Amino acid sequence: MQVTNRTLCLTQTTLLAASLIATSAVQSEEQSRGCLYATYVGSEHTPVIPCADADPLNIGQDADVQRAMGVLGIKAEMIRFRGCPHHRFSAAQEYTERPEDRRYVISYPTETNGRYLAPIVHELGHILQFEMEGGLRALTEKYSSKRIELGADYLAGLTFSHALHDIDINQFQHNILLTGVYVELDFDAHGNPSERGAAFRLGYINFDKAGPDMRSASDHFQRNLYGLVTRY
Amino acid sequence: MDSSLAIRALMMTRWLLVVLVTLSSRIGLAEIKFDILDNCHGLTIVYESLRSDPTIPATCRAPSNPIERALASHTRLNEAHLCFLYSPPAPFLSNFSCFRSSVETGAVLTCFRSATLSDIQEYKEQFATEFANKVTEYLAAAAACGASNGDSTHAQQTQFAPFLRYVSNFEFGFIAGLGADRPSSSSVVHGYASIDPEVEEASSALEFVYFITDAPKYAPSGERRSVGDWIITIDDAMPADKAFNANAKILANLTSYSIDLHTNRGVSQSEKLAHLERWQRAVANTLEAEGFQLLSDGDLKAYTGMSGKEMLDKSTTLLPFGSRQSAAVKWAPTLLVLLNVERPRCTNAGGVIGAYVMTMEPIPDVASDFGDVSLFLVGLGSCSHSSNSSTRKYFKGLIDETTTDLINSLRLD
Repeated sequence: MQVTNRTLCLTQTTLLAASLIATSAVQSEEQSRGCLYATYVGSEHTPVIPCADADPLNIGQDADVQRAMGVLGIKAEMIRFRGCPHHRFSAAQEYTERPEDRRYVISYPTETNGRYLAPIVHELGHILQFEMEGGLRALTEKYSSKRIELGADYLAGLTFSHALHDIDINQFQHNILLTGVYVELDFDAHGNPSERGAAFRLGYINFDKAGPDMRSASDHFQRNLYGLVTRY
Repeated sequence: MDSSLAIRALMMTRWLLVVLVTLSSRIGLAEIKFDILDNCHGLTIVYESLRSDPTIPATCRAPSNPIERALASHTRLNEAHLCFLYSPPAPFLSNFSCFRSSVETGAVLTCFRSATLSDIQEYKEQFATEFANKVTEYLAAAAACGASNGDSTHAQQTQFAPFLRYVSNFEFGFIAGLGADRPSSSSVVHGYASIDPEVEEASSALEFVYFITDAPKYAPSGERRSVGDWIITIDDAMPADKAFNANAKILANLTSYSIDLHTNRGVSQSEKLAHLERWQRAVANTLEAEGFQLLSDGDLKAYTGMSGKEMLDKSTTLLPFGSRQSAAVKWAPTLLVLLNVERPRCTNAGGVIGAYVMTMEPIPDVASDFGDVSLFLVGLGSCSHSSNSSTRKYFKGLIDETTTDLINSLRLD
């Protein structure tokens, strides 16, 4: 499964590069990186992989997803879900005429077999991170990939704790798409299995008694918890 | 040879080669086992036996292999505290060495057997392609066991068996909660650790299984006080004092001050170290005002044969191997040593009070952490008698004054 994801990511990158060469007048904003989708989509900006703009699994209507969005402070009108065969879970910023009108798209693979909640919550964590920093570019300029990813795992843990306490946390802990690896490149680093598990559980168990203010919690993770997660 | 036969022979040869290559790649896979946490019957047997009889067995066997001998020698514990079992408590642990160790509440069982470091390295390198699926299934099977509380995940190095740290360093593992509660006070960890190369005649790694039942709930130690933007946590380290005074022929008292900033002020690591050095000096100043004399590094070397840095380095080497490898915190390079030969009364009879003022560096990437200042007071000679209440009273006065001065120093920062 990991190989499939990496291959997909490579394919995305290759297609992105090809489309960039073909449409030199159209500028993408970022290089492809991990589950941060890496480029603005829609309008005349670069489409990455052909995919109908639809939410075939109706994830946007899922009550658990809506509860998660609520606790993360993400409004429904800011976000749309897009399911495509063989896509990877990812969060991206959409092109808008006015940069301050930020909107986002979360892509997902249509083959998820119902086990989408934990990866979607992780991606929603990225949306909150985008919002806090003023978009994808600002976020990736401020933090490394590993910091961003472990931060999203922590937010996912907090979300399970605050809004999804009736859902089995093993949906996150036993999800192969969220398990992490020991050998990875810095630009796409997500953390190793121990670090990802620790970041999620720090949020879920919530020793710090972080309240429902997810923005403060996210900031607290980056300032104080990331160093602990990666050293203990 | 008939050409069709030749083609068939060639095809068969190719087929055979494909099979051999496939087999060899399977054979080449790391020998990492996933057969402990999914052994539901075995887990139940061990969990129930530890809960029903948490006491260490009365009869223990002598350590019999290089790792057991190294454990016994490094921990320096007697059978009342570390007891090698004659037989493992359940058949699924039959190839493991098992020992029980003493804890204040609940029970602990640690089992281990030899493993190979190259297998651990291969596991990590091939995790995504060869092991991630197996691990996910393993964790799910562990959570489904009747003895489990349904919560299983990757283990952290802080969950590694404490005694095995003396001979090995945690590499990876898996943990399942035991019992019905969430979070649980009981758990089992299955994992792998690399062995200290200095353990003679031992394998390069070990596989371990670590049970802990009815552990006390974690409670942060120390008294927290807010001082402006700062939080200082004053820990009298009573358990450490008790252990130290039970084993040493000196009177000792350790007080630790952990300092945190609770605002979003951005401070670099070098600035934090400068703060820490000032606070260390503030503690030394308090002691000097009390009549202590600060020893220069030359004096220290002359008296003890070691400079301050050499002392700190030496103290680091005394830590268990695993703690040294993975310690997130480390001593700052400056150690201040002071002596008082004039106060309290016990100094009249040739006794001395020594004070070591040490600092632990802030943990990198933890903005709020500004490190720790520790004051280690020792009574030597005629000041060493633990029954000497005037010396204890003197220690308490020193600590109170140090605390006040350190808090005043924080107010100025």
